[in-house]
Amino acid sequence: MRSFKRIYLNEPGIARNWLASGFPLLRAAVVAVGLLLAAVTTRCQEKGTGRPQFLNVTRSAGITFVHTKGKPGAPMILAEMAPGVCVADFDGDGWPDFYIVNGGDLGVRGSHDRNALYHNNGDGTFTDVTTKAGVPGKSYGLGCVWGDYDNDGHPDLYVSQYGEDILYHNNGDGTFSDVTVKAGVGATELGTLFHSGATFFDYDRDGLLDLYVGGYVAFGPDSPQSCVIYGITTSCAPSAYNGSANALYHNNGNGTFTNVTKESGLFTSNGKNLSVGAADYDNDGWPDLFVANDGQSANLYHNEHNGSFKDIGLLAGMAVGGQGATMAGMCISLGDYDNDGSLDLYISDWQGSSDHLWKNDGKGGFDEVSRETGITRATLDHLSFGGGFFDYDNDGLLDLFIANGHVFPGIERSFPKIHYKQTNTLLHNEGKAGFIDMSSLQGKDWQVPNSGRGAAFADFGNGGNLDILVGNGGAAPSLWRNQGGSGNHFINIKLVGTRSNRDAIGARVRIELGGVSLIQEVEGGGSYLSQSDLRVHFGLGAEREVPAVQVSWPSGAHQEFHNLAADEFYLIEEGRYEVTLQSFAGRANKNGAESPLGRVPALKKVPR
Amino acid sequence: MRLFLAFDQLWNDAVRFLLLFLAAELMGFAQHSAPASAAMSRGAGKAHLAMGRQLGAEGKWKEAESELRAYELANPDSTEAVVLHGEALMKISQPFDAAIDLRRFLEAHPDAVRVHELYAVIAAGPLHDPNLTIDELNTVVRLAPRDFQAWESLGEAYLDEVKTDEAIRAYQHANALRPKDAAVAASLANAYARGGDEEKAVAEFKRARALAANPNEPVAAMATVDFLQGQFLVEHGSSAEAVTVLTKAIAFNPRSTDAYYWRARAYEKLNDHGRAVADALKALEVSPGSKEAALFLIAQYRKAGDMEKAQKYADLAQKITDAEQAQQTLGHQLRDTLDKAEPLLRQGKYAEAIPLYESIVQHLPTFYEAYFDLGTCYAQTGREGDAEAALRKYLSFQPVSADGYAALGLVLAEQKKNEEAITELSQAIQIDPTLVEARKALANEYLQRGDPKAAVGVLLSARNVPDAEAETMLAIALEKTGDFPSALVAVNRALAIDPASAQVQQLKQELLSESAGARQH
Repeated sequence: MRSFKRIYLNEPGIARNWLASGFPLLRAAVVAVGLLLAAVTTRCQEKGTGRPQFLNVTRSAGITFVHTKGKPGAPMILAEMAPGVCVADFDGDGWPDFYIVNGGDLGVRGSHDRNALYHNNGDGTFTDVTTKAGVPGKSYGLGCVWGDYDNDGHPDLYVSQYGEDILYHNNGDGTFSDVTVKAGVGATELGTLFHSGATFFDYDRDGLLDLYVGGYVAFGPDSPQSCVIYGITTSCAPSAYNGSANALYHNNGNGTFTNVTKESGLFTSNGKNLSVGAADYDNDGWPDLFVANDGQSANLYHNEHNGSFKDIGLLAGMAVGGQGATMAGMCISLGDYDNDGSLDLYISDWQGSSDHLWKNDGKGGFDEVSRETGITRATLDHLSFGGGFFDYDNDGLLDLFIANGHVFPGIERSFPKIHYKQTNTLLHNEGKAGFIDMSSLQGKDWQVPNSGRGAAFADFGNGGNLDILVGNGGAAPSLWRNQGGSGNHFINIKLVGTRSNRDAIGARVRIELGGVSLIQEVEGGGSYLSQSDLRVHFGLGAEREVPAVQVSWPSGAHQEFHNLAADEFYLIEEGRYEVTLQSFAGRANKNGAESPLGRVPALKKVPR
Repeated sequence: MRLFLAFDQLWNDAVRFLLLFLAAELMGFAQHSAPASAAMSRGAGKAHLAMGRQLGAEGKWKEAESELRAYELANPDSTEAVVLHGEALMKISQPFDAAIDLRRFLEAHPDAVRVHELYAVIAAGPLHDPNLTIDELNTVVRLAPRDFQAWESLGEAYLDEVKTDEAIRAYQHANALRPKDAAVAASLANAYARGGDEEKAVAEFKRARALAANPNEPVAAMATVDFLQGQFLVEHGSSAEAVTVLTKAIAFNPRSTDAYYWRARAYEKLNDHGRAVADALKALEVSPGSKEAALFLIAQYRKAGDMEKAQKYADLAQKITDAEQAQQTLGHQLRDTLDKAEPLLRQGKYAEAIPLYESIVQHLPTFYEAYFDLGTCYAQTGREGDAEAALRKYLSFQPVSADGYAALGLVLAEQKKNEEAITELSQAIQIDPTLVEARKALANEYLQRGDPKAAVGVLLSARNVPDAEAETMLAIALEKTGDFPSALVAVNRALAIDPASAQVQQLKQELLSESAGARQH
């Protein structure tokens, strides 16, 4: 009897008269409210030779990591949320490496299973260097992001956890040091334990990367550990808990950060942040912050240019879906899918609710176009987690990948057609025809279901095609190598800030191509608890040359380069007039000389 | 006499334990109705039913609830009684009390279909618990597979949860039971549409429309078809047709927020922004809390460049969202508070529990059980005045609660308000004659008042429950009336129950010597 009281105390409200015979009509009206769905004709067509675009090369790549969710048979919300994956070239050898977080037994043995840092050997394989690097994590891991917060040329690593988060400073010699306490970025000072997505971004454009850390539900030993949902005992929904506080840290430039959450106007004590992403959506030169929440309105924090933010999510039209329904917002991805010069927005959602695509109207707002673009139908039958925009076939149009997986173990017992483990979704951008689902054409490996969570994109092989790395809950990650073969061309640009932050996070690159402008912004965070390679990758279609490349740096500087040949990996340093090529250890460059092994020389931050 | 006084002191301590006992009874699934029903005649029960119905018909639901509660107490196993009382509780905005009542009934009567139905209604409505709604409706259709309305409601509940396959199956069941019901045909079509099966949706809407056109069908059926099909048409590009059918839906129900909203969407697609905005404003006028209408207006004004108006509706949407959030947060907080309070009460940490229960009753002023628990805590911490107030408040919600009267009587006794204590304790045992502890307390009050005869009368009625303390009190009371032989019989019964009690043995010795003395005289 007492347990029943807990149920109804979710919404102590005034009784409504449900007892009249008008019940069906009333309910029909209620059904209409908050639902997003509309049927669209599924447009699926065979393309090319039918060869799968992606191959699962996890094992052959030497990746042996297996994520530990928690105690088997003890479903709980914490065990259903991880892992995130994040990509960066931590040793500067030109090959993107990656980090993946691990969970643990949630207190049974009192142990934590270590995270993993995988070094890209440049030959299609990876080596686990976690122990040598000293980045095992300390607690139940959720996600990670990379950012060179001290501009010393070496990307540093921030790990969000249950409990205090960790900031690992990259020492530049293959090792890291835990500087969390010194930096003051543990993110527990306001009581938050369950951290989620994070992102480095330079919100005040002072050349130093600041840090936003999301807080998820207030879950602890005294909270409901499991719930009966649809007749099965499973992990509780986020609605069973209150939310937590978020945190914005200003980089002081001396290895420390200051928590400025309240002063900035971003503070919420009861948020359920999942994914966060920062980008300049209104093209005013200042990065704004997007936060997707679980069962609450999403936030669009407009950068007011004075150290503060204003939440304009509702005004901008992206806070909620369709008819006002909140989203289970797991993924945030910002990208210009229609090449109109403004960043559009993708947020993933719950199974049956479909994901959401908003077109940036160029006037400070967003219009949802999920149904018209085919997103609604394509994502209806999956529970979407990480992923986002990427051009997998280099045709110049941003496609979409979403990692899928349910969060209620045993859901099949109540609904045989809904599966806990699910296959991922690959949507090809057909331009005006919208997106079409290519998932079923990706071969038998792709059809193996999993508990997809974090996802990141990177050209791990530096071959000109973007690969996908997916963190799977309670299993090994999936490294999907892009087999290329489209015949299209690309250009890959690594930006190095000098007045701007070293990683050039917030820099905007625009290329002109056949009368169309393509834009990309260097973005930290995004996806779900993950981060992709910071290098910008453009598909060029049939074009073999890029007539113009414009770079708008966070410092305010603008540079333009002309007539860059396609199919190259460029390095553009802020303030330098010439463009160089990226170097990859162990691979000869155009001049025939082998690129030296070693790191990019440390660059000093140029004081403003 | 000395023993009596010593016993009296012991009894004061026992009062405190008695309160705890009563609190435990209330917390630990005590059935209010079971003992009370024995005290009420069938005739009285039926009178309450008749009065309750009449008052309900007059709209006097508070009074009706009181009558129907009494009817339920008199008929604890009656489905009709619990359903009527539950409905009355809903009418006076006490949904969770109704839910508790229904839940208790279902524990003893798990196959009571009508009770499951009402429970599902409460779950879908005030409790906002879609999982519970679905579970209950599934139980109903399992127990009553030909319950058309349950299948239809189940379809709606599944659709709310975006379980379109299950919704379709439920509607198909409903449709099989009433193949000519236009509204369910339209609902099935809507479910097909939500599930992405346009072809079936179109066919089913066509069938629904044909059924609704039958002159024997109620007008509401066509309105339902118009409304649901209108939405479908909006989302499938037939905006002009959507306007036509939604206009008809509005004509039937001019206060349908959703019909205005969807027509606004249709007008938007026809680029008639003036009418789109007008309809959205109308939707808001009908339902000021319509978030979708507010969101629609934000987009319209933003596109028109009227940022001031866009901001106005953004502020409104934020207010609505904040209210929703506050409700949910409050619900969690209250649940957390209750989770903390109950263990504290069980552990005897009354002082710590008090602020938690105070918070509960502040936010849930009709959560009557909390008043009882609060009263217990106050009493245990020496705040008898506050305890009295809390228990009186409890009894205002539960005027037929024997435990409530007993607890109040004890608290009054503590405050030496003997006459009032006697009144309340008498009420308690009138409602529930088996309340031995209340009898003992009442007997004690009578003894305090110097009325041992009355104490004897009260205690004699508790004879069917072997209780050493009661027998001892009876012995003392009989001794006071001069009936030594009966007193000795009573004390011997006490010793038979508790032979090791030194106090009872001493009492026996005293009685024997007093008895001997009396005989000598």
